[in-house]
This record gives sequence, C-alpha cells and structure tokens, in this order.
Amino acid sequence: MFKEVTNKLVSWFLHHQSFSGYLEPVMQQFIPAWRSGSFRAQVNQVKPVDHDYVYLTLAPESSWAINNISHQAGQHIELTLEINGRLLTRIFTIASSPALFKKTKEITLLIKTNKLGRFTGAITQFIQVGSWCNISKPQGDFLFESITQQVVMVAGGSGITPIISMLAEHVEKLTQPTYLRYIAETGHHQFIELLENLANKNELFTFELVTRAQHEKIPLIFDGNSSQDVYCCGPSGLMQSIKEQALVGQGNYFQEQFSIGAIVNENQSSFNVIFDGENVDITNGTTLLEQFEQKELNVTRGCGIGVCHQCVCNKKSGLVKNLRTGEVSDNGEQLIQLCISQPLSDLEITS
Amino acid sequence: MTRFNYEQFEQELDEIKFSTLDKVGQQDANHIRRVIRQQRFCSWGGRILLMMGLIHPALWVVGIILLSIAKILENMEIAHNVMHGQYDWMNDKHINSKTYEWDIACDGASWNRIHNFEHHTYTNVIGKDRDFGYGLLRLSDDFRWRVKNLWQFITYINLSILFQWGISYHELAGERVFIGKKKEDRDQRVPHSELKQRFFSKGARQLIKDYVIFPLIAGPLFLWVIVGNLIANLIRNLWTSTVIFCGHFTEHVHTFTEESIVNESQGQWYYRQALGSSNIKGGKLLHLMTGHLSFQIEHHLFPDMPSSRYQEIAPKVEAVFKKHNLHYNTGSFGKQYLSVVKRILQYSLPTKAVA
Ligand code: FES
Repeated sequence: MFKEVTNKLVSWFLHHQSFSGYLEPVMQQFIPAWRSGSFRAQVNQVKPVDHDYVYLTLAPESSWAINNISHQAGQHIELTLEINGRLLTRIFTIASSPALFKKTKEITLLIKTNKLGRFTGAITQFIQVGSWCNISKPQGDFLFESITQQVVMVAGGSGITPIISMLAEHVEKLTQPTYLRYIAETGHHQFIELLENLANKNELFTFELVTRAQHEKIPLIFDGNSSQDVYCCGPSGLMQSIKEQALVGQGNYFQEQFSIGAIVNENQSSFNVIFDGENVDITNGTTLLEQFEQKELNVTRGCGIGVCHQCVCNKKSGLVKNLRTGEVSDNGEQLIQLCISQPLSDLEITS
Repeated sequence: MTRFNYEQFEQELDEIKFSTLDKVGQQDANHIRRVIRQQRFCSWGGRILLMMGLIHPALWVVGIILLSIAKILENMEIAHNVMHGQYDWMNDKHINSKTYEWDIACDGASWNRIHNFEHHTYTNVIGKDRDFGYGLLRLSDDFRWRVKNLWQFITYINLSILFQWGISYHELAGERVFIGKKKEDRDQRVPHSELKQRFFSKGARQLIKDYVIFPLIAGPLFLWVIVGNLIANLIRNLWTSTVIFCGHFTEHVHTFTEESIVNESQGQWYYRQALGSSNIKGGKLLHLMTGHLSFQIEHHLFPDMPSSRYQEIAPKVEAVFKKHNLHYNTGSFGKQYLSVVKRILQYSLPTKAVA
C-alpha cells in the first residue's frame, strides 16, 4: 500500500515509475550496478576454459538469498551485464548447488561463449574480477523430485548445468540407481572431476560421457514396464526424441528448454510473432510495422522511416535486422523501431 | 549553376553517421548518467536553498539559479535527447524514449508525436511542420500577412515567457482540440478527449508541484518558495525558447513546400534538414545548457544520434557543407539572436521581404 502510494506520487511529480528509478544514476555513483528491481552480484572469478566455455563465479548481495536459501537445484537466473554502455540480459542456469552456496555464498554459471555473440562474446573482455553485475531471483521449475525413483538423465552440451546442480545437491540422498548420459563433442565435456567425485560419494550414481555419434549408436532403453523418471536438458531436437522414448515408460518426464537463442535461418521466410500475447504469422518480406498494421494490431506509426521513434516496441526475444544500419540484433530484450525492423526469426514483442 | 549532388551529399553524411554510431558506447552512457546526476544535485540543492532565504537572501538567489539550471538540464539535455531515442540502445529501463516523461507542463507522449514525427520528418515544410512559427508568428512569405502580425514581436515575448504552456497547448494541436479547427489530411490517431485529459492532468501536476507541494513543505517560507519557483520556471522558459528560436528561425533558414518533398530521397531529406536549422557557437557549457541544440544542424540531420557526439561531428559536417557549397549557418549567440529578432520584425510587415 505504502509502496503503491509512493510510486503514484513519484510518477506524478518526479515522472519515474519508482523512486529508485529516479535515484538510480545517483546511487550508482556510490554503489556500482545499483538498479531498481534487480539484485547486485560481484564477480569473484572469470575462468575461461577450453572450447569457449567460461565459468563465472558470482557473489550475490545478501538480500538475494533470504535466510541463506539461494536457489533450488536446476533453476536459472537472468544475468545483466553492462557491456560498452549497453545493458544486456541473458538467462543462465546456476550450475552450483544450493548446498555449496551455504558454504561459500557464491554461485557459478557455466557460459558457452560465441565470438560473434554480443553478450557471450564480450564476457571475458568486459567482465573483470571484482566488478558488479545484476541478477534476478532464481526462476524455473526444472527441479529434481525423484530421490526414491530410478532415474535416467540426459544432458546435451551446456544442458549439463541444471543437471550438475541437481546431482551435486542430491547425490548423497539417492536411494535408487541414477544414470546420467552426457552428450558433447569429444573433449568438450565439462565438470568431469566433479562428476567423478559425485560418483564416488554414492555408488548408485553412474555416468557416461559420450559423443553425439555414440549416443545415437547406443540406445537408451526405456521399456513400457519400467518406471524410471527421465530428466533431459539440451537442444530441442534431443529433448524431443528423449521425450518420445521416455513417454513409453511409466515414469515421469522432466525437461528444461535451455536458451539456445534463435539463429538466422536463410531458408525460412515466415515466422511466428507473439505480440502482446497474441500470436501472429509474419514473413521477412517487409517491416514489422507494415505487417502489424495490415493485421490491425495496435501499433503507432509516425514517420515510417526510422526517425521519430514513435513505433518503438520492446522485443523480448528473437532476431531482427535494422534496415537503416543493416545491423542484426541479438536474441535478448531490447527496444526496436518497428518501421525499420525486418524479422529474421520467431519473435516476442510487447507494445 | 551545376545541379546539387544529392547522392554524394547523402553518402558523405551517411558515412559520418555510421562511423560515429559505431563508436557510441560506454562514454555516451556515462555522459547521460553524469548529466542526470548533475541535474539531481542542482535540483535538490536549489529546492533546499530556496527555503534558506531567511538566513540570507543570497542563498535564495543561488537556490533559484540552481533550480533553473536543473530544469534546463532536465528539459534540454536529458529529456529532449532521451525522448528522441538517442539513448535507447542502452537498454536502460529509465533512460529511453518509450518510458521517459519530462519535467515540464507539456505531456511527453503528445510532444513526442508532434515534435519527433511532424517537426523532424517534415522540417520547415509549410503546412506540415506546425512548429514553424507555432501558428502564432509569421516567419516567412509562405504565410499571408494578418494585422496581428504587426505586434508579433510582443506575441513572441509572451510566447517565450509562457513557453512551456505554449508548447503544451501547441503540441497537442490545441487549436484543433479546443477550438475545433479541422485539418483534413491529418488523421486523428489519438482521440481529442485523451489529448485534452493529458494536457490538463500533466499541466495540473506541474502547477501543484511547484506552487503547492514545495511551498507547503517550506511552511512559513511559503511565499519565498512560490516566488522562487516562479522565477526559476520563467528563466527556464526564456532560455529554452531563445535557444529553440536561434536554432530554427534565424534569417537564413529556408522553408519548403509540400510538393517539393514528394518522393524525397534521403539526400534531399538531408538537404532540407541542413537548410532548415542554424547553430550557435560556444563552449562546452553552452552546448550542455542548450541540450546540444547549439548543434541544431547536426541534431536535425541525425536526430537519434546521442547528443554527446554532436560536438565531435560538427567539423566534419561543416566540411561536407563547404564541399557542396552549402551555407553552414552558425554564429555566436548574440549574432544568431539578433538574426531571429530581425526575422520576426521583418515579417511583421506585409511587404514581401527582399531575400
Ligand atoms: S515510425 Fe518513425 S521511427 Fe518508426
């Protein structure tokens, strides 16, 4: 109630959505990365390893973990970094366990970098140990609920992150055989030492590191009578096939769509856009503004040539090309001008 | 005379634009945040000092100056530029054209619609850019002379004094909303009732803030604060009006007809922007206090380039103008202001001005 009243007053007389928004640039002078509606975290370690992986260890401010309870194993956070003046946000699973957080007050993210990525490509360059970034509360319901069940886990690539967190948290409590198949290119597997340690802690837990070719050769057998719970995290193709196999059995199936963002697909010319919650089909033939107007969506047109910013909307995800500069956006959230944006992938947009 | 080479002109300006936009980054984000901080400190300092008048009247005077600076910085360097989308690339929740609302009587969304769209797209196209003379002043022969133009200098002074209200009324196309004048080719995107409601609610809040809330906080110093706020608002109005007139209505600024802009190329658009504005020479402080509208030419060529870059590109733009034999309209504050006064007076009279 009090908060609502102050926010109303602030928006009437100080023209900001919240008092903290009004104060932000001043506070940032004294407290780096102080941002309304977000938690601060200090970078304790940036460790690049082979094959473009980076381990990022963060110490969140104390209010992030109330009563020392940080996250549940398998959850993810939004990580916001200021990269050359731009605030870029991406979602990452917390790879470390809640139990470890209790001891160290730290969380670790495993980030697969892409040289061309505006976010991941810049991480090692722009993030220094000791600097501050922003994180959200942990989110997501890909959680481990099968301590007394037989379990099969399948991880593909950086899809290992939620699973490693679950295992680290629960391995000692497992009462039934739990098997992990971890698929990655030869030599690209992460957390090998940790997995070995976990296997030593509880012999019910076993794991295999395989390549994609090996995975396809050795079938995972789920027969109709087994009641194994299946957990899968990885590229959508992998999850689709594991899901189909798992549903034959009687156990439960859990999966996490980890965010491999959209990529430009030259052959695709029509896409799905979620505009303010409404699904619309569009093509890459003309600008978003033109197509939205044709579909009679509630959009604002001004100059139509990218000058006036009347048509600005918030792109939550997906790729667009700025027709004025030729620049292709990245996947994250950002403001775009509809009149000069050509869609290049499925999109989510709010007006 | 050889034909003006629009293609090359376009290429050269585009080159300046893209090479500069490439450089935009941390430095520009730091700039706008720094100005916001300065604005906050001036504003808080000013409001506090206004209540210290009993200790020493000089404190009150300093308070007025600080508050005026705060209002000017907010309107000119922060709001105007942020609302142009110059800082949208930062992805900051509070510093972007979509959410920013400025500290002035005029409703931000209404202003955005008219200013960013009509004025910046149809700059100085008579009949399309309503900002040309604000419908009050006759500033070119494109307008028929009327008797009221005889005393338009006084109208101009009044407009300056009440500038924020003038803008507010004007930008929501007051004469159409309130008096019901119709203009056919303009489609009505926003219903009149909403425009009216926005006009009154924003205006009222601004009045309440400066003339009720802050005076009440001051308790016994009620009057000191009311008068202080009144003066600060007046200073802001006079300053912003002067800067804007110097940027748009100096003697050499050209006007264009609606027919001339049909199927206009980007090069021709640049050309029109180039001849439609004028700059003011000065130091860093002047540029900051004008919200970099002392680089009106650069602003009109590249309205959504961060203002922090105008100073850097100005010499390059000037060189391009020179090459194409275009007049780069710049001069000291005094010179440009005199030129404005001259123009207002010149067109007060019915005779066709000699160009
Ligand atoms: S309509 Fe003017 S920028 Fe898109």
